Amino acid sequence: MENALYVGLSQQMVLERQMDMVANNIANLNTTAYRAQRPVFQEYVMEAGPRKPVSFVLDFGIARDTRAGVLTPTGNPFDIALNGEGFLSVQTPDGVRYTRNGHFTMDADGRLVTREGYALLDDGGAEITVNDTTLGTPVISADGTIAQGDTQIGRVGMVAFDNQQALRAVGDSLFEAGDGAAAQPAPETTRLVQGMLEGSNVQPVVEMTRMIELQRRYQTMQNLLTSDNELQRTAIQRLGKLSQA
Amino acid sequence: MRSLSIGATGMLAQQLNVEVISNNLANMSTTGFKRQRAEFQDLLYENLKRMGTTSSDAGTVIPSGIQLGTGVKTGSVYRIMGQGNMNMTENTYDLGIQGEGYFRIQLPSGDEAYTRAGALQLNGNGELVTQDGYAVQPGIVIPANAVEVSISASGEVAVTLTGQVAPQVVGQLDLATFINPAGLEATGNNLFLETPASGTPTVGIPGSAGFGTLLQGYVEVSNVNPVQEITNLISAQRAYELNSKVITASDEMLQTITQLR
Repeated sequence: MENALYVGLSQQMVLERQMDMVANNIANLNTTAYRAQRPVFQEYVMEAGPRKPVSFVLDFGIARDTRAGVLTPTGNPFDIALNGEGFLSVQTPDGVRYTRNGHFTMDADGRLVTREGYALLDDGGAEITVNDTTLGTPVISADGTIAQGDTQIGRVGMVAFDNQQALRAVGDSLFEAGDGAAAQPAPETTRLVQGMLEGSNVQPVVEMTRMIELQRRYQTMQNLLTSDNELQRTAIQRLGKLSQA
Repeated sequence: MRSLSIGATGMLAQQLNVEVISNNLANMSTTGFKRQRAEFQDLLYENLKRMGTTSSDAGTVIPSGIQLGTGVKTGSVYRIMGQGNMNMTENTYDLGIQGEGYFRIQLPSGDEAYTRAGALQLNGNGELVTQDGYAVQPGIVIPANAVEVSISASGEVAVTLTGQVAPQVVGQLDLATFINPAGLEATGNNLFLETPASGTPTVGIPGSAGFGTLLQGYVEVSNVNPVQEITNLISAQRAYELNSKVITASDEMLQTITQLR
């Protein structure tokens, strides 16, 4: 008899988790290169008795929306956006991490680093040092080549993955390559754009409608649970009266 | 409910975004002002089900796992050093820089500051100073009997004295450039200071390779583009609103629970 309660509970827990994801997507509406997340659900069937299966709902995993965000011009020469599939590599204390957030600054040693101070890596996996003499502002061309005046300094490394879903987000716009996700050179079609940053790919209207839908489903399930509760109470009361008589 | 606090981080981020935009708009007419931009990053992720874990004895692997984000944070607020428009003032000591470079200013502390606000003046001793009276480096003194002062594109200061026909050179202005001007620290009063991120200044003659030229009788206005700022403001405001809706919705979901009995 309590099955209805537990099935309802399983849905409510999943809805709550989905709500957390919607909230995170909305919070990252203006986050550079953010990728929206969606939960993936599956049915969990329990044999409650002969030919009486009860199915619960379970959240199974997440799917990341891999579409690119809109490029916005910033006018900063150390801002680079990727046009096409691929990621930039940065060196963190925990190993190489991947990002599409191309906001870099120069540190005291002349290296190109992220906000956290992680160095941008070139196509050979080495740090990129900008020559800080009188050569002027570096120019980054579409294929990643960095030049200062006539001097070529290096080439920004761009990598791609067979299965982008195997990447794990670690915050700070960084991704960690999971098992079975080997970084390969990005396809030729991927171009770099200097002076631009990629926006988040969250679609506010979609998130908003999803949120309303979630809220209503939550309420529906709540009503169902309330009526189930009511049913049980009435049953107990009536049966109790019967036994008294 | 995590979504309550996630919504809160979103609202805080958008509030900061609006603050940055409003400061840009407030400085729309500030000489030499460079606009700022807020850049956001996602916060840490909670791993509810780690990807890559096996789901059976046969070694099948969970492909994507469940990761819950915990909101947003401000990555950085950085300055965009693009050129501003030139505004004609016809004032002798107003200098606009076209291209790269900053005037070097001597602070009262003896340190050097950098500015693109070229609305200069003379002090009682005939020295070329900023609006705050800080001397421009290298120091230039205009003789009291000067009738006409002309400053060339390459920074040469020439004066014509009373009773003389030929102008004579009294000084040479120079400019400082930085490899990463976005790394300069703003101190207010249109002044910037050198930081490890900006790199060390390279001093050179205006007009030489890598340096901008000077334009007498003009000042560089701010590089704030009002249309862009208003568009950003609208988008920030809507994002703020949307985040507050998340909080309302989460609250209503919580309320539904309390009604259950």
